[in-house]
Amino acid sequence: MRRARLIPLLVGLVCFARPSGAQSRLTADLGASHLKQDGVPETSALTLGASADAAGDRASFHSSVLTMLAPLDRWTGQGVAVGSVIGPSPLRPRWAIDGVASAFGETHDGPTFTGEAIARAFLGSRSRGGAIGGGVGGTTHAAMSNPLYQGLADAWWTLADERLSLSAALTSTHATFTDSSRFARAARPISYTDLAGGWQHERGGLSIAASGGVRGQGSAFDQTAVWGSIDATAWIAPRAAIEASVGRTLADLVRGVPSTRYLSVAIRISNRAHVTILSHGGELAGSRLSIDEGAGGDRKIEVRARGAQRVELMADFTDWSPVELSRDGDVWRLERAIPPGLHRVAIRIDGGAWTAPANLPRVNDDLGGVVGLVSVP
Amino acid sequence: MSARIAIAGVALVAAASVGAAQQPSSAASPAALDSASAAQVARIVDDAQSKGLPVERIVAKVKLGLLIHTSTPRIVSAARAVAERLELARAALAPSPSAADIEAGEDALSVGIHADALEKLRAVNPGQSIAVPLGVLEQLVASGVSTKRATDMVTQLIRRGATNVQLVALGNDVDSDVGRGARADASLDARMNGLTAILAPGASATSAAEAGSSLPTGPKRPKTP
Repeated sequence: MRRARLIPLLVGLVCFARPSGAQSRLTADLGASHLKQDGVPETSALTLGASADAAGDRASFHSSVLTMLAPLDRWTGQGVAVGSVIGPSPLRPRWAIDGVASAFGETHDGPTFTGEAIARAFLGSRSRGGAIGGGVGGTTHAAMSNPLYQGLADAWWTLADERLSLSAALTSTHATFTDSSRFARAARPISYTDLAGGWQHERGGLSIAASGGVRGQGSAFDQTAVWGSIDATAWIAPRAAIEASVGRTLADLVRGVPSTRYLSVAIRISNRAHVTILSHGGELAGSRLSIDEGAGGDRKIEVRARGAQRVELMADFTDWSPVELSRDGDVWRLERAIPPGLHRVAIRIDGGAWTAPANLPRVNDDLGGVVGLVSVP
Repeated sequence: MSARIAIAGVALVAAASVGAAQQPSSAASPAALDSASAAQVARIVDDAQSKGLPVERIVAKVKLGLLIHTSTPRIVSAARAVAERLELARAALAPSPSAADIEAGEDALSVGIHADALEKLRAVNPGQSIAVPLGVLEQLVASGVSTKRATDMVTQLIRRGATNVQLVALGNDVDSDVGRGARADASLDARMNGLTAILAPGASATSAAEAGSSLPTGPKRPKTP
């Protein structure tokens, strides 16, 4: 168990590494869950949770705790801390060392502690790539300590607001519980393979995620179990969100937790401001310009100018030559090739003064006027 | 482009209407520079050209000034300011910035970003084009984020391996939030939270650890108490 005891030290060291320029976030959750577990009567419970995250240039840290309180003074508590040191970016592939420590306890049973050190190598970019690695650690419960070995592989792909991920893990350890929740006097070795996939969409104060996986045991994957979850978080105020989650988890033979179906709702409070789902009001009055993908590699420029009879545009990508847009109701359109990057643009409504569209940040043009800035990916 | 061609470009701007290929607006027709101002502009362009600076930006500024009927002294002054910023940008982005980098640096300087911010961005991404990060920096500052904070954020994101697409999306998102009434700093914080989560390599292991018992080291969904 000496190995497992070293893990919190590694996590602690990681926490103090390279704190400069770190981003941090604290959250607190208060909610309720309805749980249905194999061999256990259905119940509802109050949930209290908290998390702390920090990420710097070369290190990151994540920790969370969760307590559930049910009638008759029953409770469970759990916590996890993950610290990572990340290799310098000029090197390919990059590497990371993670230290993971967790604990799980409940009313009538002693706690289970785990610790693991994981080394990973990254290939590709942060928006699209993969990682492979391995971990070694240990678990302890009721004075019984057992080794833990893992092989890990991850792949991810981020496209605009969508993030897809796939992962595979081979795990070898010892189970101190049988039939999910009954403690066994002697640990027995277990090995299993997890395959999992996930999708996350995040935009405008709303995050939706779905994930699922299958765990197989045996040489021919002849014993399998599946899990899945759907989570949604809606920020209703800059520092307050409503969270809802539904899903099914696998039985945990290491900690003695049976397979669980759950439905939970919570209020989340954060110390960091978020964009909210209600922040669409109060839009600026005046003409608005947007640039989207068009046909054949061109970009589609749209200017919304209510009541206008004529709309002209000039920009660095028109070589500062005025171009008249075509009308479609209150929307005025133009398609043309625009190179990626930041561009300066001005519009003129009904022959008036050239000015920046109301929705764009504006900068002086050195000539006594203003132009808008629009970025094209 | 040779100096001769650049000067010819200025003269063309001063004399001609907009080319037909640009689908010109019939109401717009640039005025002309007087001969003395044209000579001053030509000297500015020639001088910049001799220093190896990209002069298209100077020509474009003159063209814009003529198009919106700005006074000629102001046009000459603006052309000189662009030339000075191009030179300053090239020095800040040394040793061998591309024309696109220099022009992006000139843009950034024009909105009040200091040369040392350009040096910082160059230092974290040596040998590669930083035109896009500079554009995002400029966009953030124009949206209301303080120069120091915007520089720190963009520098940090580059260090963490953010792609140009991710940087552009960040700039546009903050811009969009500000357009809806959000404070620029609060929006940047919120958007950085999302990007930080995506860019942190630990996120992969963490999410796997929390995702329904897939790792024995992670926390589990609670057992019925």
